[in-house]
Amino acid sequence: MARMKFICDTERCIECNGCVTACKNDNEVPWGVNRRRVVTVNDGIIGQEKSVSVACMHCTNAPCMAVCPVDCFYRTDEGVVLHDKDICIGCGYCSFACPFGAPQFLSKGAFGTRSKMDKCTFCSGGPEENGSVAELEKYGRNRLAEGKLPLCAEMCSTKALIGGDSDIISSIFNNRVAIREKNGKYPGSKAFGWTTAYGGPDTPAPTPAPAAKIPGAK
Amino acid sequence: MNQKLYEKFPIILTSGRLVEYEGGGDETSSNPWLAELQQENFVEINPKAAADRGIKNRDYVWVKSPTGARIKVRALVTERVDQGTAWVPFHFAGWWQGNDLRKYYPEGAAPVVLGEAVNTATTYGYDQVTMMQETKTTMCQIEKFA
Repeated sequence: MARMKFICDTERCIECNGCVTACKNDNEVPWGVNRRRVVTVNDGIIGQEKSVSVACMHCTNAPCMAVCPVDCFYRTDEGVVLHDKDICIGCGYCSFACPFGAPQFLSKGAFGTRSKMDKCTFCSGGPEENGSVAELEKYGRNRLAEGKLPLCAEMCSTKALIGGDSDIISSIFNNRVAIREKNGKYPGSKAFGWTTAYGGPDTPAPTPAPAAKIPGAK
Repeated sequence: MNQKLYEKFPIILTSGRLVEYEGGGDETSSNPWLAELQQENFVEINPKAAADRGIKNRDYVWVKSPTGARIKVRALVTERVDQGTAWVPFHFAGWWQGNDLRKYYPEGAAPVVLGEAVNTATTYGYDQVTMMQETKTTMCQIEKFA
């Protein structure tokens, strides 16, 4: 069966927040919950600014699922990690466990008590019946049941964010990496590996461009 | 030139667009999904220029114009601008020289997000034919909001 994943191509992401707005729109996500958000590093430093769109990564061995004390998580046949809001007690353990900050809570009620956990559902709703009003109100739209892909990936203006069956999207991404390396234009296109994550011996630290290199600057 | 305004107002202020908003801002900042992404007006200021003025990231600052007007915005200390330049987005409205005017909007008409309008602080030049304001090059001085 298909295994659903996201890949966000940092060379293409322009921080337009189109994915964020699309998700908010279709899933009626309230103010304060950010199912998807765009993170930018080295902001303003020419040639080194990179953006990436982050949401739930639907991990194969999901930490959120592992730590939940009431076992409200489950995986669908397509590898999407979902949870049941009726069982969720709002304890927050999943949020601590997740390295991506995907589970989110609203602070409602007295003493800022947490609401039920809310997170990216890969646009595949929840345990309620597909396409029902209850599902829409609790979990947002179920696009996978309609045969469509998540709206964030569909709306991405540069096709930086791609989502879908992991075999297909990784072949798309590998294609892009191969073309970039062949062109020799993007040294940062070594997408995988230790030196990409942690830097090799000759990786320079990010530094601001001196004024002499900025066109028009003093 | 003879008043040496360039010494009192050494930073060039320019304005531009944000991806989340459009135009004057009232329509798009009434949309809660877009408004959540940009909740305050801000000025981009170079780290060296900010350090010279004792301004830290997210401090409120006054951006002052030779016309005498001033706007109160958050400081975004960033390498995006060089030392002699500052950038403020337009698209915000509803604050006037530091005062929040939300109570003057008709009931339910105020956008979700209000902020200073940058053209309060832009300079006095106008295009002769269209009366369009000078939006891209203004002199300003930036000071920490006390």
